[in-house]
Amino acid sequence: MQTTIELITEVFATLLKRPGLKLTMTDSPDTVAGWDSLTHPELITAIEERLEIDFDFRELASIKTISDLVSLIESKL
Amino acid sequence: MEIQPGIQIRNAVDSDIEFVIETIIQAEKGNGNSISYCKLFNINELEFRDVLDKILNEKICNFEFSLLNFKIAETNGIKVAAYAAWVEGIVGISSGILKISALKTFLQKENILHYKMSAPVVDEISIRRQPGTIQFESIYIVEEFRGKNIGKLLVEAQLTDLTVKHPEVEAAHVQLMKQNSVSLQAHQKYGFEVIKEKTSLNPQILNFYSGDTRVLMEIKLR
Repeated sequence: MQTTIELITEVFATLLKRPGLKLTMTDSPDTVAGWDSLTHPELITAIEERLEIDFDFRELASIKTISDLVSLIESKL
Repeated sequence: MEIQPGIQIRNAVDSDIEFVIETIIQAEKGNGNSISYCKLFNINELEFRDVLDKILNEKICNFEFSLLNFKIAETNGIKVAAYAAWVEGIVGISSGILKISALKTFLQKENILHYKMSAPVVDEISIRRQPGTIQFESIYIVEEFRGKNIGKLLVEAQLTDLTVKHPEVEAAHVQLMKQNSVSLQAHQKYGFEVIKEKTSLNPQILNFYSGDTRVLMEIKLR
């Protein structure tokens, strides 16, 4: 079964057109090329649609790293 | 320059939301009498005002649509000016990501798709905000109170508060469109100097702004 970080990695690799991308829990927009304010809404929307969940603004404002995103997703599953 | 007597500077509170929305709208229009966000997201001004109201009510700090980052100037209980400032990235997330997260939350999916197509054009003149610097954004002074040094009072009040809370900060920045000569000259009077310019050669930039060049201005604090 796919782990949460594997799912995020798959979404990021597809949308950022970076096959082979490897994300770690400490990654953030500062360390992942292409993860910026232009791509962020598309990345988040793809995760929301894939898992049929929704994030509110306060939740989105708490995402500083992949670890934060993993925790947020897992709190909703 | 005449100094307006009886001006009080204070932090924005809930009852200021309407004035802060007006501040953001008028500051945007100062960049060419149109609202770039409306063009970027394909929304009208009323829809933008509605989204701003929702975002400001969230009271999340450290980006330009945060109520808590605004200071208000008032005289005899009348609000006459406002200006936002924050320390970039101080909470470990950039103001750009916070802003687009806010807009994504309160806009429709088709608006975000429109942004995806439009944003690369605007991005050609975007200047990355430097983490750890004070960022100023969205100044508005009611017309009959202009030329009375109120903008400088707001800048000084923001700098005083933010440097007390964050003494490590070394500079304050503001980004303006170069063609907004009134605001540019006003900021020079406040103590800012132009340190960078970024120009787009893409004529589509004029679909969003009335000019093609953004300038970065700085006050050195240390």
